[in-house]
Amino acid sequence: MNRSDDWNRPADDEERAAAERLAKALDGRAVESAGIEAELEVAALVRAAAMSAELTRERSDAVWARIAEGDAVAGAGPGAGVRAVVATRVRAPVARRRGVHRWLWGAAGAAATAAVVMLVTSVTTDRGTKLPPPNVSLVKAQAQAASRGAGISPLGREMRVYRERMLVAISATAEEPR
Amino acid sequence: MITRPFCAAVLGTLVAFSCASGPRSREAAAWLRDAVRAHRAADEALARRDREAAYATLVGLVGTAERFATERGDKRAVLMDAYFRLAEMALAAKNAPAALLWSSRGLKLGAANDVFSANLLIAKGHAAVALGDDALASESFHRALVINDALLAVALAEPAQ
Repeated sequence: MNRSDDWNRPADDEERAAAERLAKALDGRAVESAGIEAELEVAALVRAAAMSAELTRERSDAVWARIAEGDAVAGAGPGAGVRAVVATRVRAPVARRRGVHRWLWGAAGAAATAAVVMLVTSVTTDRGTKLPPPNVSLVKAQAQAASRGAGISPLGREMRVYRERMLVAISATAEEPR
Repeated sequence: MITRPFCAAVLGTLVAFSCASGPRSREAAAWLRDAVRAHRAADEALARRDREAAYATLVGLVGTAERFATERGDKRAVLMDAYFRLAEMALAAKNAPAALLWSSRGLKLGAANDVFSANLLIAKGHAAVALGDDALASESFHRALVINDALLAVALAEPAQ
């Protein structure tokens, strides 16, 4: 298999060097010294550039524009085959990445929206059930228990009654469908 | 125009909501049922004078609380009350250090002007008295009485129940 056909393998040293040459050419330098002649080499070069992290959509467009104008490959002018390769192999990976990015942004947006909504919901609704107020006998038992020498048992007995009411109220809220 | 990312965002939000509300609600209900059962079991154990069983039941209740997601306010109320009950049992068993520990743990959940905070402060005060810590006892009783005063005002304003 021609190495330019396997687009998922990592770029080798030669391709990386070619990508560097292309990068220089795209920067307006050393277009002549790029020395690109064979269609295969152009394809490999483009592939390596497409795999590099620096190939943004704008850069891809610049590659295509220069090749389309016939001045990107040291004046040799790429043939129709090369143009087709470039068209699919420069643009397609970028388009795929852009597609992935769009979905990643979508997923990130979903997560962020959900987090914000859940935060707002928790802040506004996580105060718990409105509990029944303590009755006077419980409060009196509390006041008596809050002194030295007093026993805590009367308060415990009053709390048993209040506890029942509290748990019933909280359980009723928890069982409600949200 | 409705874009795919927008649809993904909407879908993700719906999924997050369904994941957040369903199991959480069921968990909360399950834990609260456990709490009701634990208190009843503790009552029954105390009725047959089995303090250790009552104590163990409530220790189990507070020990499992972390595993269940429920409304913060509700969990706080149930746990603070359980800690008060544990402190009360420890005091009855003349185990003041344990009473101090349970009441302090309960108050760590956040003291407020409510029945639960006042109860825990009272239990803490009694534990401090038993331990000979007069300053802590006075402070705890004072704070409890301040809350109690506010509760009394509310109770007197409420129609009789």
